[in-house]
Amino acid sequence: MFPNVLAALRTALRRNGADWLIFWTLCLGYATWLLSTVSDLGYARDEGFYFQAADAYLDWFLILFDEPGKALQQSVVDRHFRVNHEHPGLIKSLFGLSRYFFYDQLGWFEEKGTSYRFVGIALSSLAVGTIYRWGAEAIGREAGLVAALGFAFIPRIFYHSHLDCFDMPVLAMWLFTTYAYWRALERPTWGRVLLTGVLYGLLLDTKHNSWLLPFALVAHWLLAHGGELWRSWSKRRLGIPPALFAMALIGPLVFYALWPWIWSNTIPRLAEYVKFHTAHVYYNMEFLGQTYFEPPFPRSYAWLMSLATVPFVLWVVAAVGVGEVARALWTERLSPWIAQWRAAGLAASLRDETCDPALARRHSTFVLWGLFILVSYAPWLSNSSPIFGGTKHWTIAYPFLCLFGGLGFVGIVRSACASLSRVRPASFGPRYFWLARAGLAALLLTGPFLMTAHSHPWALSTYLPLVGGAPGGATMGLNRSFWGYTTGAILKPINDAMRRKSERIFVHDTALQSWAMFEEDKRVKRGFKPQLDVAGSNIAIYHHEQHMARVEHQIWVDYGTVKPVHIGAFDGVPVVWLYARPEKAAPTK
Amino acid sequence: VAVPIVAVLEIAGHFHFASAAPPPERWSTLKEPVERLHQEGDLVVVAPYWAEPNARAVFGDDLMPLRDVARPDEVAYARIIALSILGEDTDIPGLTLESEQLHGPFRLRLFKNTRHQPMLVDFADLIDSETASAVSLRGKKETPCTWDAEAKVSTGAPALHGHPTFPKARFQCAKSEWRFVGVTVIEDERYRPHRCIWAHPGEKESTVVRFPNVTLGNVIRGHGGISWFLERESKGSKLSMEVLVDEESLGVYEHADGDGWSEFSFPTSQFAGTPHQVEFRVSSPRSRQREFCFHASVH
Repeated sequence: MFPNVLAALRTALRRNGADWLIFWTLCLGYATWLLSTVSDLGYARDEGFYFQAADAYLDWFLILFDEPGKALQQSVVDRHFRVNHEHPGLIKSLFGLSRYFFYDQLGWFEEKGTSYRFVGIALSSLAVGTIYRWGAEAIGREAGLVAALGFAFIPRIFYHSHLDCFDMPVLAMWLFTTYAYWRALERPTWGRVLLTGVLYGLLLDTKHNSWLLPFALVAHWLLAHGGELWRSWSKRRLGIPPALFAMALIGPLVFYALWPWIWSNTIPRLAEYVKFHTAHVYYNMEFLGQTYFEPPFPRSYAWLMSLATVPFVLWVVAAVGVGEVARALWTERLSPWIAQWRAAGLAASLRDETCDPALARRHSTFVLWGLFILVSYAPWLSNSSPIFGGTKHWTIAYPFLCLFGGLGFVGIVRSACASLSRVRPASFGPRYFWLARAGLAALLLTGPFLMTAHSHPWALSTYLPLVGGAPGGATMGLNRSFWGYTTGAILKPINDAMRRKSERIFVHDTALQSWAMFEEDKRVKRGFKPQLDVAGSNIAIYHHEQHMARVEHQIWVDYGTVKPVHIGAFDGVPVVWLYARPEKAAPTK
Repeated sequence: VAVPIVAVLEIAGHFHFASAAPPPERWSTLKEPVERLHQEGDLVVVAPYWAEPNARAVFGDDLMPLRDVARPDEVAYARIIALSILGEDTDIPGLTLESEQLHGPFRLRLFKNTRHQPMLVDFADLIDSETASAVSLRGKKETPCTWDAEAKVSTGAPALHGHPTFPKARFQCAKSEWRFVGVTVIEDERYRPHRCIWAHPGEKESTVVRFPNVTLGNVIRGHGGISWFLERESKGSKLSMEVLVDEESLGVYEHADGDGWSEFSFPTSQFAGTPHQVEFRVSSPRSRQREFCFHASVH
């Protein structure tokens, strides 16, 4: 029986099954890693607001299950979906439903907070698998694998993948949509075209980054398929891919259908949504020792922060990949085209159909990935784009950076094997190439893996060796953390600091809703009374950011001490610390 | 070959930097050597500055009291003990090295401060009903501020945008909570702390802080500023602070938004060695968010 099973497995793997097997291994492996580390991570400020919104939306769904008529009344819809209506409803609805099914009903998770976070964990894990699939289909299996693992081993991706926020969901949805779009370009079946349209609707309903996608796709069509378009127009055909139509037609319908808040007063509410994000309030961010509260923001911010937080080896292999693409585009496409333009004129060169379709498809893919990277970074070419959220704003570029990394990896392996075969042709034949591939992949991915594992649960305090690690980042004056999530890293000292039955604690940047989740999850002792004022508290948490220093000064004056009772540090760099009011300095009435 | 080398170097760099800076608990190994070196009046500083909380957690308020941590500058200190890690150096100017010790990753150095001017009186220490008074001055009419040693401490709400702490012991000059004279801490343009006397002027009213019996030296020097969180916006009116000895004006220090924590000094050699009344009068054409705070001392 055993040989039969093996034979069946081998046959299944041969028929594209290996890709699915690797896909699911990656997804489940990443999800397992995220779930096994989720309880060490404190709840970020914004997560608290989304817990609250998710609960409100879930209440509406429960009404919908019981009394659909009542649920559809405008007043009922508005009452529930008014909460956090500056972001679309899809992901928060999923947070709430995940809580209902996986915590309330099935009891899969011990901590309620994890049940909300599960949505982000699942989508992030699917994103890792999707990167593999795309890389495997476009370049090859090893490229897909290196790309997927390279992405999974970016410390900040690992952090954001844990959260019940929108940053990883929007990255995942962007990836799913564009992968579906790419497949619909390759072979435009009805199923693929419709799926692309539906996925774009889900992307629209996730976060406003979705607004940038059409720019990238139109630019891609013009750049990579300009000749095709020209030839279509010459033959009085539209020449626009059906998937783009589907996105334009189906996308908005799905968006509308899944966000009940815009079912009434649609135009004013959409206008409010757009205005909220185009005129977003400026928060602050430290960069190179200066805290920026308002424009102009430094244009180098996005690039320098990317270099400081994405493992350098990934940049190097991505650069090799981009170099290979640039060389291929020049030698296989641009150079022949320019030669023909010179020989026969522009119109004739555009009409030419001699380009190898397989080659054209390959070029089209790389142009598409490149444009996604450029579009993700484009807002930060303007020095008035807010930078309050740090690197999370442009993480959509990272899957594509890693896919270029996969391509670079293949190129490096090829040249390494060629060199070894030349040097020692007798002992290094093609049958050992797999060894070179595996060894190089392991070498490239070990560093990112170690850095990512090490970064937990300090996450945003992580800076990579290129800038001298966390101490280098602190010395350079790069933001040490934000969102107050590092409370989770000092819960034991917080619990130990409780001296009375009831203890007033100043929670600083941790939202009260996030603190409430710590209580629900029994991660903090009963009896703490959280508050947002230093005055009157007996224990104070301080989350360091440059401009927050004034909060620490408040604590000093009120508590009459500058001595923290505990410091939560990452690689020797203080990130979050704790004060306890000395007995002699009792709070005033 | 280059790519594997980059990969290996990055892994090596990761291990190096992850252990380069000592963790907070390791700072306790310095306590004993620093205590041995420390004399009354010495200042303990840390380089890089971001590591200072690690030192405070170990040395506590005895070796690193609030008055030192939130000092106006370093002029008042004859000797400075500088702890450093990662090869960093203190940025305090005018120091001469006296001794140096190495303790694992720490460098412990004792410096002589060549810019030292002995401080005879710190006016912030005199903010008390026994040694100071405060009044609101409108034209020539004075309204005394009331001393309250048990006032309600306030830090504003929500906490992220609160004001500097309104301390427990203060002269309250009006119903508005912010119209008081008392000792607090504000942050400067580098977000560094400074312990200072809060003297918010009122609308068309000066806030006057009076010290009836101060033995003077050759100079009254000090610094003034507004919490940088407000001052950076450059939306407020100019402030002026007149310094008087026995009701004779020594001069006016003016402060505009954007000046940051800035220095002033007034020669007082003609009064040196004898007790006098010293007065600081803070005023502004418009009082909105003029959260002025100053430090002054006799040298």
